[in-house]
Amino acid sequence: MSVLEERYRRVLRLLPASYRARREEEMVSAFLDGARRAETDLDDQRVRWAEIAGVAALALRVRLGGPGSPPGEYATGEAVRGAAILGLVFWTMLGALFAAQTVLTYGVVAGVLPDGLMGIGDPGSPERLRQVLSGLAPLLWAASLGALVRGRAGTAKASAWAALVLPYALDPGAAGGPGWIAGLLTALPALVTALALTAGFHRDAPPPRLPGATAARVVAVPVAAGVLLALAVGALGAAARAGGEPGPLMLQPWLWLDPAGLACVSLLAVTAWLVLRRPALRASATPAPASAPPVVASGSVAPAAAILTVPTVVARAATLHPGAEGYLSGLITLVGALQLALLLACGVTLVALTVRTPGAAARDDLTGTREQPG
Amino acid sequence: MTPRPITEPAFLVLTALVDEPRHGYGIAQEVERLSGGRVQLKIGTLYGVLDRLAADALVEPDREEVRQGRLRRYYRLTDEGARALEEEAVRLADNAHRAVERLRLRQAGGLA
Repeated sequence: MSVLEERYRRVLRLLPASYRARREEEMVSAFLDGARRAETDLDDQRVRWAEIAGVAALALRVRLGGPGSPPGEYATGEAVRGAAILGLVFWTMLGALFAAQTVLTYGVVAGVLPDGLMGIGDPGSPERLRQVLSGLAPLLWAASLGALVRGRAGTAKASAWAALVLPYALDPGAAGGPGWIAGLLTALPALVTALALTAGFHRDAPPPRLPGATAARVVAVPVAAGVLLALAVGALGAAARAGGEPGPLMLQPWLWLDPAGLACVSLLAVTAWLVLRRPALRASATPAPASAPPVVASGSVAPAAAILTVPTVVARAATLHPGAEGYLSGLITLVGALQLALLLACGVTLVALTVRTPGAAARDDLTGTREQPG
Repeated sequence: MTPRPITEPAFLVLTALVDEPRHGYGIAQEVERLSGGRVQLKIGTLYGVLDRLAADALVEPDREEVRQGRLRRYYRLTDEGARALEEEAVRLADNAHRAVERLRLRQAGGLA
């Protein structure tokens, strides 16, 4: 065996074993036929990056299989696609929250907050404009979700990456935390959502195309939740300003309203929903269907949420400062640690639910519009 | 399931199989020749295309040969594949014809 063949076979290990069993020999043969045409010693050649990229893309498509794929690969693909959709729903809610806060803070709706109380930059200044745009950019998550449930994967992916990157590009301070590592860890849940969206919906696994009214509902619900949260945050802020020094009771709600806190609450809600629905899920578990489900099959919610739990745990842990002194710092650390424990409990429960619910694609979906497999 | 649209690489792979069954590298070579060197399929890309075409029953394995200790699996165009290719070719030719017609009109000053 030449060195080149050895190298190429190593690259092919990116593919699942079952796929390699079917295809490896003929792929190696085709690859070496092409390499021989180059007429140099096969021990001196390297596998080109374009070939490696081609195999990696194939491996991703095969491992995250679409309809018609083997059950295991289909289930993995559904879990990743489910994580993308659940993540998009969550970030749509947060996008609406950030946008509504921006609208309130910068007086786009006049007189809601005292002018200049929290705003950065003078009215009409480029800095103010940058801040406003940075606050509104997360609304692109809603555009991404809307495009996805209307079957436009390319637009959904572009919008999601824009929603992820634009706030930081417009306002580098949006990363928060001391240094870029903390910023990256905080952004990990959104990054995982964008990656799941990009990898999960490929040519062999196109997104569902929901009717316009259903798609609008899928987007409107998290947007409404985000706006309500923004109003709640505004009310809390007003109460805090009126009361002077924030006490433990006043501080508690804030600690659940930052992105990691809200992710914790959302994952708790999803886990509780799954546990309560478990008997129904078990009764309706079926093998992978022949056609693509419209949104997230409920059997894929547990693994999808389990995927999202990992970056949320990392993001929450990144904001903890156990060594910080002072009563309020101690309280923040305590609540953060409690959230971390709840997230870990969610993760364990979700993994257990995934393992105990075979036949991941169950009959109904989050929008209740999925066709019943025959 | 709704039939998948035929992408350019898939179109060229189907075209490469019209005259005779070919193995993986043979298909890649023929696609390069058909496209005037413009499309050079990587092996991973080629097998992704072949997987999709086989799943849609547009191509199927023909035979296997062992040359110099290496497996060569040949693929052939199915009747359904020939029909799909013909429909796509007619559609593309129709589009191209309309484009050429309009460009001629434009050159003649018939269109703004």
